[in-house]
Amino acid sequence: MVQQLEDAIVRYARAVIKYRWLVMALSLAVAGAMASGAKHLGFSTNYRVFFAEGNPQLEAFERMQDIYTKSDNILFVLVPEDGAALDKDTVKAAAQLTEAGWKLPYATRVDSINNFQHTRAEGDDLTVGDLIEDENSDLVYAKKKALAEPFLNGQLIGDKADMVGINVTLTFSSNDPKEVAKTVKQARALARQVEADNPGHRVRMTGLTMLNNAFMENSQGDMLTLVPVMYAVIFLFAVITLRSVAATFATLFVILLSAATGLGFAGWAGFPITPPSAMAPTLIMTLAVADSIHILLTLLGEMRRGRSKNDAIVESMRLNFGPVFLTSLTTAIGFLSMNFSEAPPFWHLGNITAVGVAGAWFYSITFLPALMSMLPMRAKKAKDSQVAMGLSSLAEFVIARQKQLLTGVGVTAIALSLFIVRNEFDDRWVEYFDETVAFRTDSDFTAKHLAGPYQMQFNLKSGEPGGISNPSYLKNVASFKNWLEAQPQTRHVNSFTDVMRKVNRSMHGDDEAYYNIPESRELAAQYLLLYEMSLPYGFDLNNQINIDKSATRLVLTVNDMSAKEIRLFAAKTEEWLRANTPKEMHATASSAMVMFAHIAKRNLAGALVGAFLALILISIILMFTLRSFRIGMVSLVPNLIPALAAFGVWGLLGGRVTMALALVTGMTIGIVVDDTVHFLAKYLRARREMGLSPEDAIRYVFETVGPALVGTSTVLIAGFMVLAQSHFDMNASMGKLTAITIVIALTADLLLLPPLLLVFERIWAKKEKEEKAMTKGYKALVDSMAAGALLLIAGASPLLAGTAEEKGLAIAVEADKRDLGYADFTADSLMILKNKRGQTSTRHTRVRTLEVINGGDKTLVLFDKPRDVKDTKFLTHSKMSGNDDQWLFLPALKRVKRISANNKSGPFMGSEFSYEDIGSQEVEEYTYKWIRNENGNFVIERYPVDKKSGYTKLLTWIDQEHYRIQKVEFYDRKGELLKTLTYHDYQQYLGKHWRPDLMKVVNRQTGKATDLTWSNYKFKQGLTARDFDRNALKRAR
Amino acid sequence: MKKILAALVLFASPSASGEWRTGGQAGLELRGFTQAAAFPEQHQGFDASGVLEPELSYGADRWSVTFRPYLRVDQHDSERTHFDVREAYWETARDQWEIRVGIRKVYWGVAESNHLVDFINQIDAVENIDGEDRLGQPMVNLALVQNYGTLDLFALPGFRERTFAGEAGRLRAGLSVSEDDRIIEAQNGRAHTDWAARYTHSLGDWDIGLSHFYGLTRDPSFILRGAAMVPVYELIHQSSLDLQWTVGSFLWKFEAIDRVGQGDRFKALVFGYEYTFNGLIGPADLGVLTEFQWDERGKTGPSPADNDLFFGARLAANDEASTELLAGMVQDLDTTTRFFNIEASRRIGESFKVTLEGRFFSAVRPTDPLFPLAQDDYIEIGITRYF
Repeated sequence: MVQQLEDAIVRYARAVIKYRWLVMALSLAVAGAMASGAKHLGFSTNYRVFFAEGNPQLEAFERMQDIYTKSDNILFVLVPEDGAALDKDTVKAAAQLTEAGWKLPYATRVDSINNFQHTRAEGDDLTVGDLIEDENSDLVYAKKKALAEPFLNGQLIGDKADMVGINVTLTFSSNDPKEVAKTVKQARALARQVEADNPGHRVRMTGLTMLNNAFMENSQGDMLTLVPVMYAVIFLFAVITLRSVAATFATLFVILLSAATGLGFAGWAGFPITPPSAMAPTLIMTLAVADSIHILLTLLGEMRRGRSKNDAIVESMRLNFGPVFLTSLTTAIGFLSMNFSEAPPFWHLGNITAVGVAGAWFYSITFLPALMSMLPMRAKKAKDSQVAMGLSSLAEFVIARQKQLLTGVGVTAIALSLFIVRNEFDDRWVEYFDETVAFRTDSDFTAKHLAGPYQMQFNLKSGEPGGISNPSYLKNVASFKNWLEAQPQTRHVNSFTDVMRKVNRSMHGDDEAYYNIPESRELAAQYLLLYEMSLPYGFDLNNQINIDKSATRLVLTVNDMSAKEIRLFAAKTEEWLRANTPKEMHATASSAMVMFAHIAKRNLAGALVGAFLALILISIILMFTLRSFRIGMVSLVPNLIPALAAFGVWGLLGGRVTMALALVTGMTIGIVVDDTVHFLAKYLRARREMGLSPEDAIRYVFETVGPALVGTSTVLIAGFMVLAQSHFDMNASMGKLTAITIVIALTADLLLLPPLLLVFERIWAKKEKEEKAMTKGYKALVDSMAAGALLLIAGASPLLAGTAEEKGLAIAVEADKRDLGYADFTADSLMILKNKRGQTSTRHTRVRTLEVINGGDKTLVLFDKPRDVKDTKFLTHSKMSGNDDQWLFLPALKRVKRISANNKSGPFMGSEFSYEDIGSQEVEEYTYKWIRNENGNFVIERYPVDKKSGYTKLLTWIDQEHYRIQKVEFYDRKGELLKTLTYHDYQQYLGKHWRPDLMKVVNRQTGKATDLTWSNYKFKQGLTARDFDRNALKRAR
Repeated sequence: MKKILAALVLFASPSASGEWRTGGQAGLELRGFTQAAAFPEQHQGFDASGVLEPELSYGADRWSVTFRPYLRVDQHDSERTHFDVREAYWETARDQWEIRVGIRKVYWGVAESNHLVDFINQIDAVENIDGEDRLGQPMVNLALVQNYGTLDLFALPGFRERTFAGEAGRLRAGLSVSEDDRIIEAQNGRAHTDWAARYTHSLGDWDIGLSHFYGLTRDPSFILRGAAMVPVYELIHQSSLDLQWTVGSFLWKFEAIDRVGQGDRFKALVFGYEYTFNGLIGPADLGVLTEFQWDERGKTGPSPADNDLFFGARLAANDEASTELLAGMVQDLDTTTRFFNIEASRRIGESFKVTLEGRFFSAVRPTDPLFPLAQDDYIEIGITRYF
């Protein structure tokens, strides 16, 4: 089947070259269709995109937002250089800001100490008016009042009266990001205007609208700055690696198309661009470049070897189609695992990147070959690179120091992993932006000197309309406020009780003794009505009380806390409410801060599930692809260690884990597995096909795939380091952590995996020996368990067969099936016959075999040496059942003699091989019985159907991976062990057909032995039945 | 001959895909005759001879040329000292046909003890009395290869006469053969072109050969001229059939000819079986052969194989040295005449082979065609070096 697949790939590649213009046009049309989705792309302007629908904190917060005025706002902080905020010039500047604030688009309310509705008793009247009419007002009085006013102090005026805040509440008409952008633009212009008009003043800006804007601006910034940098990095890498203008051009084109496809997909799918999803183009480019590089490097190499460009393209496609598909698949799976995240932006990032990676694969197999066949290309001579030389000495080092390395690297990895516990989940949305972002510094400044952005809000219900005037309700609110104020975390509490007290005091002639809650409900309701009536336009209490006056909002400002502390503190407040207030007042703390505090933790759980599933899925794919369960298991080590050790390193570096980082594991598994795949695939190829020892196989891997591993890892590290330059912390730390992971992965692949393989190979070899010594029953048990595990994992169909006989037959049929499609092959054989005294003689023959589908194969053996039998030829037409047809050509007489096929088990040219041992064998010539599984081999017995056979039983070992006969024990007619035939150094031809380089047979009864060495295997020589008829027998030479 | 060689040289211009191959053999044989010679001119005791048979061939993609000359030098018999071109031909193969032009050796038939059907190449009788050594035959041979079998068409220009031992040689007729006086009953004599066609096919267990030959007989009659025998080569038609049925370890064999033009029309047969015991003793195979020989011309005819039974055993040790032994006996069913035959061989090292051959005649009646040979029992040892 592998062969058919390869043939199909070759046919496909030829078709691509033949119809290159069409392929190019179609692939560009696909890219265009995908990319045109980009017109639907929009930048999200709301931090709320981080929370999926159904998130409990989001729902609580949204309910709050529905009840009270939406708290989108811009807080201008006016900072006078002289430190006196209540002198004339600052008051004037504040007045300018307050007034102009109203003119900002979507502004619904402006709060500042200037327009603070000051309540004053004038006789029996309640006078409500601006605290500061203009700069000529009594500023000393105003300062005293403002600092005494809990709503103002620490919110709109610094406690040293060294700065003032002007808070503009905004109500946007839609989610259109342009509204935010427009507002922020004008707000900034206003701030600059105020700074210009009032020298010695600085205006800082924070607030949720500024946060939202920062999200948007940083997404755009990342796209505008990082993408070009990434492009430059890739360009540099491509130039260095490929050293071909055309190839570099093609690479850049492919990654451009891939990134455009990913982004277009985002547009069609309606994903908003958020800082995380804005990373997608950079990621896609980094990952896409590997596909092109692999294909182009092979192409260039083939051209250097003398192939024409188009042949080189076909060959490169044949060699890379599978690996490129596989690595794209695993990478896509890694990114798709992000769908287990809690935060939709990461779903979007994962999905966009996965589509982009799929696009990269698609363009690499369509557009790329089509383009390459058009571009003029010249393959420059390869130089022995420093990297390659360094790697081969590294290989020697690794082999020489395998035990020390295994211990050293292993212990280091485990030690690093232990530092994982130093990591702490902590998401602070202000800190999502680094200190080069104005929003971050302004917010930090504000948090330090004025109102912190860290708030929790409580929707406190009274349980009845107008119930907020109920003194018992108000007392409960007041005691909650008092309790909160006693907490060390609390900076400021703003509650409706302050309004009631203020009004109560004013109604009693500003007597401080009445600064408390009114005695009766009626009184409180009247005072509230009076107060509301006196408020000018734009100043209502809807930011504090709901419409039917059944609930009030309490706003708690806290100190800077970690997410964990926030969660604990929020839980504590809720606990207090449950313990000390009636049921209707049991509110939950909600706010953006609380939401972010929860999401990191919840996100981790999802990320771990995603990473685990990705790991399982990728490991299964690996086992299938590598066709080895145990190697697949070993591959887990270099796939897992990087993620673990990288988090350990992260812990050492400070260990603040935001929700983005939790996703690195799943994502990096998909990426680092590529290196492991390339490493192990080459290793197994060296072991299985080339028959190299584990050590030589390691050398081979370092030599062949080493430079590519270092190269692609380098570009990945570079790519993620580019991401690390993002001003958005999630992206930056994700980039850093991923880069660390890949560095560790490369180290693990080069320094840990080789010693691990060497050690395991020795263990397996030893186990194999020990198993022979095991009792049969125990061995059968272990093997059937192993077989069961293999069955579960690989779903090996032959094992599904029921009885031992059916199983045996199924194995033989599968073995036969695996070799189908070789068409024909020729090979040279050299036999060395050894007798007991150690004397040897040699036999040279050439063998030609023609595959006959649904019939017996045909084999022609030409004898070359010893010379007395030169030109003797032997032709066999195998039969599915019944006797084969055999003819012998005797050169002295020029005679073709039909001979009896019953000599099949007889010696071939005096060797210990029989004719049947070297000829092709049909399934139908034997009956079968499965005996046991042993060390990755099926052990079956074959019983010759023909009773004239010299054998009664052939105990046969067939490996479970490739169904190649490994060993045969022949039992003679007396049922005694006659000889043992072992197969060595299997090589794979045409990517499918396994042939041994060496077959050894030892006669257990005479002690004689024969080694049969095969060489010069050639497949698909175009032989026909005419080369295997009786005329050919005479003619062949 | 020269033309053919020139043609060969032309064809043999080496191309990139082609390949030269050389080989051949050189041997020394020593025959020891155990009985006194029957005729006074014949040598006594030992006879040494040497053989040289180099081979040169060139094979390209679809064609090849082969050149194999042959030289024997004999101690006593000047007739046995002779040169022949066994093979010198060009051959090409296509999907549906093959053409071979030049001097070739072809083999027809299935039987072991008598080669009735094998009629294209003249017997090189000075070599051995078993009739298995043949002279090279110039020919143009077109083989049509079809699903229903292979049809070989032969044009055979250039007649080859049989070789006969000289006066001093053993294993000859009682009277000397006057080869110079031979009579060739074709208008253009030796230049006559013979024709032959042969159809062969393998049908399951059956191998069938059906042939017809028109031309100068390979098997001369003799007339007496003075004290010498003069060979007469007549124009004949000979049809033949050979069959082999391979069933299990049995090979059932049948050969029959029908010849017109050489005296009365007659038929001759040989049929029998070969049965092989595989792995009888260790790896060794033992084959048992029985063949019945019959000739319509009977006791008065020229063939000794007129109503005889052949028993034989072939032992193949299947060892490293490829030791083989063939022992056989032909019993005339009408007389007491018996002929014993033993052949053995074994390889020494990688390129040498020693052979042992013994032929013994027992109770040969004077009327028997074998009678002149009755005193010529011999044992021969030989050593051959292969290249």
